Amino acid sequence: MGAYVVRRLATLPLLLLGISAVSFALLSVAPGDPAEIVLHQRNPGQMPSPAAVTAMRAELGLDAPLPAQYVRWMSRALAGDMGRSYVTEQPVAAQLARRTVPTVVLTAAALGLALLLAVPMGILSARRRGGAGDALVRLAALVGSAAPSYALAFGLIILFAVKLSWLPAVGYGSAAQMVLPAIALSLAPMAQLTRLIRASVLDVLGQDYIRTARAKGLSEQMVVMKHALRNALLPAIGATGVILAHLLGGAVIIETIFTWPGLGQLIVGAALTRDYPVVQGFVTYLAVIVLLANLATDIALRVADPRLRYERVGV
Amino acid sequence: MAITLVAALALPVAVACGEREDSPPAAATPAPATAAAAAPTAAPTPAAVATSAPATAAATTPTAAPPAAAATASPAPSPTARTSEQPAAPAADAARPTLKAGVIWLDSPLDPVQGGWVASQSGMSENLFRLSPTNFSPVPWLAMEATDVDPLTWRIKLRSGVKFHNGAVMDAEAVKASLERTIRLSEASAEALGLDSIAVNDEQTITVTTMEPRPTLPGLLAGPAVAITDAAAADAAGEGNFLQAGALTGPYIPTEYIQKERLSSVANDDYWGGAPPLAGIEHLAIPDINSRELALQAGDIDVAVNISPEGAQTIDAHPELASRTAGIGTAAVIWWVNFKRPALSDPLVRQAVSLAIDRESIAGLIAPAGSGSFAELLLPDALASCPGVSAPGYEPAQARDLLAQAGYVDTDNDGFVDKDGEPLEIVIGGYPERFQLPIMAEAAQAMLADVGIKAKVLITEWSVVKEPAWDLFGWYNNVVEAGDPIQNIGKFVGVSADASGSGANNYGHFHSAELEGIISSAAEVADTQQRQEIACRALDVVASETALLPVAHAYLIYGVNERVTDFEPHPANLYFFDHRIGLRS
Repeated sequence: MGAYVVRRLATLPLLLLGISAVSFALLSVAPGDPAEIVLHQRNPGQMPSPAAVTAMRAELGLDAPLPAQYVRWMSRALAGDMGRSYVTEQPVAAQLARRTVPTVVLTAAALGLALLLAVPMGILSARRRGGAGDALVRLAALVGSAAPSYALAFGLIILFAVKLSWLPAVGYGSAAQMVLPAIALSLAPMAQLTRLIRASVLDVLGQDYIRTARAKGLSEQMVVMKHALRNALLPAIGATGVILAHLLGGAVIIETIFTWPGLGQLIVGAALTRDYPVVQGFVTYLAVIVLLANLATDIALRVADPRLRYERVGV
Repeated sequence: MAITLVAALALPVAVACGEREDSPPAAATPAPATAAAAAPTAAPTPAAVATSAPATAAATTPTAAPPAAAATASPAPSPTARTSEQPAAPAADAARPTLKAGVIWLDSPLDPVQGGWVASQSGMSENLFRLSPTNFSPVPWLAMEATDVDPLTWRIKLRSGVKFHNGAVMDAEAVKASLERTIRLSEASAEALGLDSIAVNDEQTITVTTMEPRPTLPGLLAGPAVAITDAAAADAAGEGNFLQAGALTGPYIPTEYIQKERLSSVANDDYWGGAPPLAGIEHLAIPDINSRELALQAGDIDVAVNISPEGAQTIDAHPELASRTAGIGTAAVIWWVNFKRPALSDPLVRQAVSLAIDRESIAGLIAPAGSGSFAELLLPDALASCPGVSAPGYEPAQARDLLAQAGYVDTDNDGFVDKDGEPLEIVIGGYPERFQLPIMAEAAQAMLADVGIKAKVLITEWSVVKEPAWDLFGWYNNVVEAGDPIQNIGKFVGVSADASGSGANNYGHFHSAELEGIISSAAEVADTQQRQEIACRALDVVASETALLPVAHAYLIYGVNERVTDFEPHPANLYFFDHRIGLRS
């Protein structure tokens, strides 16, 4: 296991290098001159003079060739300096750090909620295959998968905040303010996980060792909980890493709608104002998080499934 | 299922966080119309109207204190962000309510020299002059009157009894230092004001000399970047610590500012206009317009700044909410016409394009009745009423005739005109941040196709306006800057060397010697009426040359809870809240 983790960690720098290089190149070809954008931000309504634009390009280091710009950015990033926001003039790293907590809290709540409900619903649906409960769960999962998250988010706000006045529509800081965004963010992964677990449980319940367990006279509950569930949940554990990446992506929309001051809201604002240092920093930071989450998922899978641990020795 | 989900999540979350937020307050009793409450309560401190009349432009009509304000079209948001807290801020008064406001952005720093929009909009900063809500002429604010001694000299008498938030007195020395700091730190302000020297006459009077005649100086002093600050305190606080300096004078004192997130303030009980009835104002940045409107409907906020026309209808149907607007569109939605591209360099083709687009119908699409107005001319009537000037209307048949005169006919029967084998094809640009622009572009595309002009729509980044990639480019901008019609015309279609407008935003590269002469003739004209007449002559040239295509003047619309009292929207987007706005429990 230790060697496996070391091997995986060794690939991370290469992956990050590739991701950051691609995003840097893409941002460089995006429309709009960052020097002009900075000058316009500082003096709204004023057209910057060509001399001012040239001076600002030099100040921002944009007059250097693109590879040189990237090397400079990367060398500073490795030292923890991801540059300063064009808009707020704050260090990008500080902004990312401050916005991380709200996003982690929201994402964790959404993932927890998704797992909390998807596991029992998936098992219930599989055990009652073809019944009314199964149909209901499958329908709900279909809606959750298909409906756009922004539509669900606005639907939740209209129902629970505007019509029923049970919960606040926007804001951050209280438990009540977290309920609607967490639900909105969790619905799609919940639907995905429910369908995955249902299919997996059905698959496991048809295997020989389950028939053996039943033949031993174990109760159906014991069969499912003790023998089937561990294997049935393996695909869900494997999918959690991917789902986490989707949650972080979905947070971009949900945080904007609910005015949740996390990374998603930061990146939307940065993209709209062409705040390239923030966008570049965000992409790299998100890549680190997703890669580490995937690694954690793989480790969890190996812990849960001994077959993966013994693959290399041919067992 | 949704209710189950709420219950399932709410319990552990509430336990985990150890707190619970109650439902929004129940609706207040139906209130009497806010209009009555909105009537300006007489200001405790007399003010003076500073009309910029011919020789002695000063004025002395006692008037009400500054009303609150509103307005749509802001130029681009401004910069910066910092998290700051004012340690010694006065505690919020438990007996007075705190107003919660949802705004589009909280981007600009509080230090006026770095833009100044947020500080001005939130009632924290004040200028020597502010724009009148009816005709946008500059009226005294921290000044009492302004007198133009000669074309290069203005004497400005200051209001007494004004203190900065840190307790320092605002006197002539402080104002001199503030203006000097502005010039030192803001290149754009220095260029616009053109100040040569500032002299202190006595405790309440300064004399300002300009390098060139500045007949509209009071209006220029109304810009948000020129707000009066305690320069010594601001400089002493250092970069990034402006909030701690207590260097502003407005009715609300900032206590915490997290740029792009929220801005908190408490009432300035030493305010020269009287203590505000609120304990303070909490501003929350809610960039998404739908979220802003829903937050108002849910009771999370009391005022939503800048809502959509459609949202206003929903809010008006709500028994406890109402939409409010000053009813004057201060933001022009226009198309630049690119004079550097061959397609529209022929005046006949320009006129044909103008006649082929039903701009009044498009105005109805992007600014429905009650939320905007058709802008046949660049400026709203309140700034320059020009009954003798009119732009061509929608005449598609005439447009086809003009195209034929220009040599464009459909020789290959493909539905589009061509000349010498080349089809007439134009690119209609715009940027997506203003919802009006993509709608306009697509509507115009269809209308131009009707007369045989092929059009491509290019929705892109706003700064592409500077690139030679378009023939028409949608734009949305404030056109009441400094309350001066000439300046705003000059800004859009003037040349960079003219005296009244920098021409800085002349993205269409329009050049007319006649227009240049008209604008230059206003260089030393102080009389408002005369400047309006000159503006009308300039607008006549703009319309006849099809220098640009105005479409609508958009209003700034607020959504307001009925518990809000004495809220009087201002049409300009510089003043959202003043010291009179209140909130019933």
